[in-house]
Amino acid sequence: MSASDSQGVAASLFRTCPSTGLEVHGPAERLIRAHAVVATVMLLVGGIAALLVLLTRWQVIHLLDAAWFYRILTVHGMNMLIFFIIFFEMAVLIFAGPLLLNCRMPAIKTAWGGFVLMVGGMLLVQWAMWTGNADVLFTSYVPLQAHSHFYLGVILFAVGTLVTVGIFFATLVVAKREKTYEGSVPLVTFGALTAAIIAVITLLHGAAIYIPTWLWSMGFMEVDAQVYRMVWWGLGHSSQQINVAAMVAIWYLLATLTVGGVVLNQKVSRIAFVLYILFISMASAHHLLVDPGFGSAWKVWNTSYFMYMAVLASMIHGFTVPAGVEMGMRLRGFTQGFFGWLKRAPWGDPGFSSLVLSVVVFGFVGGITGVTFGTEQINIIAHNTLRIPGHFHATVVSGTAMAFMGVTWYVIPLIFRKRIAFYPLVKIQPYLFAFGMLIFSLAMTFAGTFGAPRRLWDMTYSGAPFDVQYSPAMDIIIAVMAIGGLMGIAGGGIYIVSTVWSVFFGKPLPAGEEAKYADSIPAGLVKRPWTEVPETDEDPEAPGRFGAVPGTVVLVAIFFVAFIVYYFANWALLSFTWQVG
Amino acid sequence: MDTPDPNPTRPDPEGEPEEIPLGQRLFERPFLLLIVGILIMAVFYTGWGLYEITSLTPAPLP
Repeated sequence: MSASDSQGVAASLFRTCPSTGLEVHGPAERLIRAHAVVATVMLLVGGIAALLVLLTRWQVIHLLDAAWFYRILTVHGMNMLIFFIIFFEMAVLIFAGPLLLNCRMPAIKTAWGGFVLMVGGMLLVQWAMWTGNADVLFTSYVPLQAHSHFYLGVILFAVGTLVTVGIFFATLVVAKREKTYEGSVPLVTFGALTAAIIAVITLLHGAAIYIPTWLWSMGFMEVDAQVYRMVWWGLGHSSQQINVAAMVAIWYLLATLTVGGVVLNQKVSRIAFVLYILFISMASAHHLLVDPGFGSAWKVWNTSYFMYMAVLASMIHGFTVPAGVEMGMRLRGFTQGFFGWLKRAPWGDPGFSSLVLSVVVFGFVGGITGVTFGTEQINIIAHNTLRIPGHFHATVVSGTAMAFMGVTWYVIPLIFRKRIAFYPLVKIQPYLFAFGMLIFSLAMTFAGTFGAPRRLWDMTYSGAPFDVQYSPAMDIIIAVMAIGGLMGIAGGGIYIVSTVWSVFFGKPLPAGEEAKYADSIPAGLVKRPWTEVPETDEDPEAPGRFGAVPGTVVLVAIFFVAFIVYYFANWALLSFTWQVG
Repeated sequence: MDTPDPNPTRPDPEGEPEEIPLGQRLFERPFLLLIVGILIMAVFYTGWGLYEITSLTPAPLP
């Protein structure tokens, strides 16, 4: 084959996206599809497990026996926190690499090899969990021991993930060398780079702890329980920080796609991402705040001092994303008052509603509770109670999964070239899912505040040699939690049914005919707000009393008030528990 | 590897090369960010944490 033939073959691997104008590398696109499909299957498995766990924790029903409860809780944790999230994140990396940089994806066969390793590892873990050989929960704390295949499966999955992350880095090199973009990489790609770096940190910790634990499970060596907890959380918590970086990158993407949101200041947003790279993984020490093996200096340094740099980063994004939306809307003439832009926003676009709900619930519930529980003194009254899953369901589910769902409504038409099935239902999906999970998270937090333990099969401790008295409100709170959870599961169910139906049985979306099918694709793909900024008579950037984005300034002020009230309310709660003098 | 640009400037439409700020040049080096990210975590969380655990005095058994 001559050089010109090779170039012709290479060029034929690309298609031009009719909506975005991006040059889409076919092999990369197929990898995105594969990762997204497996992620959705994992969400389905994890979601079914969520329903079973919920109906057991709801004492009125108490569905599963103890053995199956812990088995299904393990299934829920692994499928949601590791498999669903990481398969989806690998799809995000491939999207933000070759697609956004308009370049080819190198080492396609190796990338498929990584995918096969991830799937193989995942299947081994599934086998161990479903056969009762790994009733060790997501944390698999030593000396609880699972079958060696469980640890081997996690190791294979981690190696496969590292391969994909490595290829993302290689893509950056290829794009730079082949000059497929000008200036700096796009902000969304920079966010994905942040997620990739945190993924490497995470997976190195995973390898450092799971390889010895695998050998321990076969009787070749000992593993210290405290060392396990410390190194494992370098994986367990940091893996959720990959989510945060990927989620924020998707926020910026959705803001652009749905309303033509702008990046107010590239420098500030990129500094915030770098703060994540440097400091966010240390928040792993959250989980060790009541462990006796570490001194206060280590705990305070890791969870407070350095962690606040990552909190600062989140607050920067929490301002710049809505401010970018507001500015984008004002540039298009929606300049009335403080919130005219918000009133006129495309609330029927599931991408936009998912974006807003993800930002709000992640910030107001997940963020505020996370920082509060990361305080060493306050942690003592929250640790191992339902307040902790209340926090991380607000971050991982209402924040990350909500954002992933929102971007899916754009991925289906853009990448799969399909119309969205059951679109009228999809329009209400973000509201059902987000409000359900909000009720669920808040009820969990209240239940935890009244002393409800996390992870426990029977919170009434029936048969125990002691008696536990909860507040009379506890039954109602748990019932509210269950109702919220069921709403969230219904929202998740709509997501799964629509995405699976759209991808496998959906009607095609012919190129250039988006307007004709406006009733089955998001409004952003019809209006394409990112392509131009309409002229407006008013100067949207003319700073008023509250600056150029007064609506966002007011919203941020409300956030700070909520933050202060919750933080100090917890100090008050601590003072009731731990009276001095 | 991400090779540093020996001439960190960009052509300007008017002919004057525009100097790229130091921060931007650093942020455009993914492998530098990767190494610094790993190092901070390895030193302050993992390394220091291991030191704390291994330097614990064993509790006397009753």
